[in-house]
Amino acid sequence: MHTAQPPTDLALLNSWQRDFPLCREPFALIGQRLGLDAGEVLSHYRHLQRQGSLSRIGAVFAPGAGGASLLAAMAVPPERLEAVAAIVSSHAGVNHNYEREHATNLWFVATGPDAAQVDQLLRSIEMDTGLPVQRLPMLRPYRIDTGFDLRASQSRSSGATHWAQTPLQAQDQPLAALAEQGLPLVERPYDLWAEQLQQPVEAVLHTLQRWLDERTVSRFGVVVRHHELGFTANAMTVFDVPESEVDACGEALARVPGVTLAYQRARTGGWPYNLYCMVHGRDRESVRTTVAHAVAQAGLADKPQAMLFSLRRFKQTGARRFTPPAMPRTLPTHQKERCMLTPEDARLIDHLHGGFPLVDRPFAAVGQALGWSEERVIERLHQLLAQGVLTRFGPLFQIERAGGQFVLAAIAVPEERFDVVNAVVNSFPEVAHNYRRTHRLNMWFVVAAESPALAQDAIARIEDAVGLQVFAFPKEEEYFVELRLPALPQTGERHGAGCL
Amino acid sequence: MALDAFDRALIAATQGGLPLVARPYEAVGAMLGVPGERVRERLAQMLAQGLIRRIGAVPNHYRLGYTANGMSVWDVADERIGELGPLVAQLPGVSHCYRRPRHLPGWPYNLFAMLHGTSREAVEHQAQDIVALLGDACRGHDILYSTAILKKTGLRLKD
Repeated sequence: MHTAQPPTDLALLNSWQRDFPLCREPFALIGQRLGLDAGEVLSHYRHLQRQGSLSRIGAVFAPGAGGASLLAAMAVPPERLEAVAAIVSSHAGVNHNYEREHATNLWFVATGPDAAQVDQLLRSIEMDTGLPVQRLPMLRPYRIDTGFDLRASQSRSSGATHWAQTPLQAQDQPLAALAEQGLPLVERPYDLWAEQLQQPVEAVLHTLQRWLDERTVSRFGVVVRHHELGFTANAMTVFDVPESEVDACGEALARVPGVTLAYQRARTGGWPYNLYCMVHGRDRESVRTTVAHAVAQAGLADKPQAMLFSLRRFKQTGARRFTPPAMPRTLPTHQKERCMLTPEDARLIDHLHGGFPLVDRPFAAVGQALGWSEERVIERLHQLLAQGVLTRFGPLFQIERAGGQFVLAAIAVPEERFDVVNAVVNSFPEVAHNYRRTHRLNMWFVVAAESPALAQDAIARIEDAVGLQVFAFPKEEEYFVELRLPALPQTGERHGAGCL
Repeated sequence: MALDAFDRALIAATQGGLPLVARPYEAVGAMLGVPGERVRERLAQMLAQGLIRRIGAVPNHYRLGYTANGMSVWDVADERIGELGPLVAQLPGVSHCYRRPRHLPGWPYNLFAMLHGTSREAVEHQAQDIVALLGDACRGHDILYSTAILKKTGLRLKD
C-alpha cells in the first residue's frame, strides 16, 4: 500500500514505536488518547498488519542482548539469483534478504540462538548453493534502530547507542522470543504470553520494563515496514575508512537526520569497506540528497565508497535470536497436553464448523444464536487464533472443482537433514500442509496447485531443491471426506473412540 | 469451471482467513473494490458449486484434545477396493479416505484412511475395526502417526 495513511493509522504507527504501554490492556490505554475504544484500536492495528505496513508490535533488542546476528552477502550470478535467494530465505533464521545493486548482490541477516548456529546456517547455505558467503560481523554500532518518523519522512534524530550490559539469562529467553515475535493483537496480549510461559502477567510486565531500564531492549513498540509505507527507496552506503578515523566518522554519520542505521563492520578479503550507513526515502533522489549531506557532514567525501540501492526484497521478518517457549513443534504422543478449551469456546468452535452466515454482520448473527454479543464472538475468535486452537477462520476452497489439484506427497528425509529439508519444502507456497510421521517416509505434505501440471511442476521443483525423491500419491478415488471432530471441553479423563 | 479474475482475487483475499471485523464481507469487498454484497453472492455460489467446502473455523485438532492422529494405510486387493473403500469410509473415527497409487516395492498400500483419537490406543482400536472389515482382501497395513505439524496454511493461490 503506497498511499498516504489515514490520520488515525498514522498516529497509531508513528506514536507508539517506543514506549508502547506495558499494562494489561495496552490498546484501551492507547485508545483513550484518541477517543477510541480498545476494539477500535485493535481493528486498526489488525488492518495495518494485514496490509503489511505494521510488521509487529514488539521488542527491538540491543546488540549484545543475546543470540547472534550476522550480516552476510553473496555475489550470485544473475541467472541464479532467484533460486539462491529462495534457498537463503527458506531458513527461519534469515530475517532480511535483499537484492542490492552491486556485483555483491544478495544481502541478508542471519540470526540464531548462538554464533555456532548462525555459522552452521551460513555453511549450509554455502553447501546448498555452492557459493561463498561473506560474513560481515558488526564491530561497533553508532546508531541503531530507534524508530522512524513517518511524518518527517526520515528517522528520528537521536544519538547515543548502547550495547546491552549483559546478555539475557537462559530463563529469560522464552519471553525474549515472544517479545521479538510481537504481541498478539488481542485486548490483553501480555496475559496470553503469561499463559504460554506459565508466569503471572505481572512478572512478564516487570521483566519487560526491566529490560527497557537496563537497555537490553532498545525500544518496545511498533515496528513498521518502510516499503509498505511508501519508503520504497533504501540505500546502504559503505565506506573504507582508516581505523584511526572510523569512530569519529561513524559518530558524525549517526547525528545526521535521515540516517537510520550506522555501523562499523569487519572487512573481509573480498570486501574492503568497514563503515556502513542506511538511508530510507520515498524515492532515490531524496535518498541521494540525504546521503550526500551525510557524506559531507562526516568528512567522508574522499574515502573509497559505494552506494547500494535495494532492488528486490526477498524476505523481511522479525529476528529469531532467542529460544522460544518449549511448547510448539513437537507434539505429545500421548494425551499429556490438557485441552484448554472452556465449554463456551468448545460451543463456539462447534457452532462455527460451517454454515458461517453470508449476511452483512455475520458475527452478530452467530452471537445471536449463542446468546453472545458480536464483540465477544470476534474477540474469542481472535484469542483462539492467537492461541493456535484455530489455524484459520474462513472459506475452505476446494480447488479441484476449478481444475486444481491437491497431491499428497512424501519424502524419506535423513534425520540429520530434517530441519533444512523441512524449511525448503515449507518455503514452497504450493505446500499447504506438512506433517512429520512415524515411518521411513517421515515427511508427508500436500501440494495444492491450480492444475495437475502445476502440481507436477511444483513436485519436480521440490525434488530439485532438496535433492531427494518425492513420492506422489494423487488420489485415485475419494470415498469420504468429512473432518468434523467435536471440540472437547476441558474435563477429566476422556476416552478416544467414544467421543467420535 | 475456470476461475475468472474476480474469483482469483476473492480467493487470494480470503484464503488466509476472513477479517475478524463486524462486516467482514464489506472489508473483503473494500480490498477488491466491490460492494460486500457482491462478495457474499459469489461466496454463496462457490459454496453451491462445491468450490468452497465450508466457511468456518479450522481447528488445530491437537489443541482440541485429539493428540493421536494416524494415517492408516492398507494394501487392499485391486478387485475389492471399489467395494470396500466406501465401507471403510463410513466407520466412526475415519475422516479422509482415499484410494491412492502404490509405489512398489517399498510402498504396497493403496487405501488411506485418517484416524483421530485422544490416544494411540483409541486409534489402534479403530484400526482393528478396519482389519475386521477388510478381512482377507487386505494383505497388510501400517499406521503413520503425525509427531509434528510442520506447516498448515491451506491453499495459497499465487498473486
